[in-house]
Amino acid sequence: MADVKIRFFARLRDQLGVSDMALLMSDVANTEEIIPHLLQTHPHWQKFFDAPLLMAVNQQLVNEPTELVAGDEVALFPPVTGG
Amino acid sequence: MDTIRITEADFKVQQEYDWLCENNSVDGAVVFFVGRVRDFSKNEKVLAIFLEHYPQMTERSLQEIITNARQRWQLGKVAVVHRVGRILAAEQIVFVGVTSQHRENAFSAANFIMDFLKTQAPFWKKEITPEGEHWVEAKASDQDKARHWR
Repeated sequence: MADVKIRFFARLRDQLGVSDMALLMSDVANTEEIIPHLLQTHPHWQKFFDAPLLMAVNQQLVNEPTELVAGDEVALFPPVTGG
Repeated sequence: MDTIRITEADFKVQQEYDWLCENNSVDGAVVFFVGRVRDFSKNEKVLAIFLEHYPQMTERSLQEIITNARQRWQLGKVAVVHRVGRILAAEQIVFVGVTSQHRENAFSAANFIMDFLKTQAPFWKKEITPEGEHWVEAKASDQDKARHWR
């Protein structure tokens, strides 16, 4: 099965100590499944995922659970602070 | 016509203004905003900031914000320039410039673009102070400003 790429940015990346990961489509068919799946292998990440986070699929912000397809890039990051 | 630039280098306001006016004799109004690094934040001295972004998504997000502004107001040219990397106190961070036939549209669109840039475009600021570095918290007031356009 092809992979879904997960990227982390800014404070979240610093907290997790990792900038990107590859997950299997069989584990994460929907964006809703990503955080629970990551917590299975990294339970100590819970406190970092409790903070407000935004999610983008293929460089577009998503607010609703979104179906994933092979090759998708999902990004998780804190609320933005540019400008 | 739109220009979107993400750059480590500083920009020159005159150059951006000149581009907005170039081959543009129909627009009577040019409004621009420049955001700068303040040297104080929450009673703490700020020496510099570090600006991280999400390449590809940044440009896409800014383009979407400009497209939304164009759907609301009749606009001529739009320029958004945002710096990334290390930026010292008092230096420029962002330029948003808009032209239109009349000033109301240009003022509103520049304001709209800044409000959404601050809440949707994937940039993150880290403040560098004499005591160390820390990521800047997003402000609820910025979310409120973007929400009032909906």
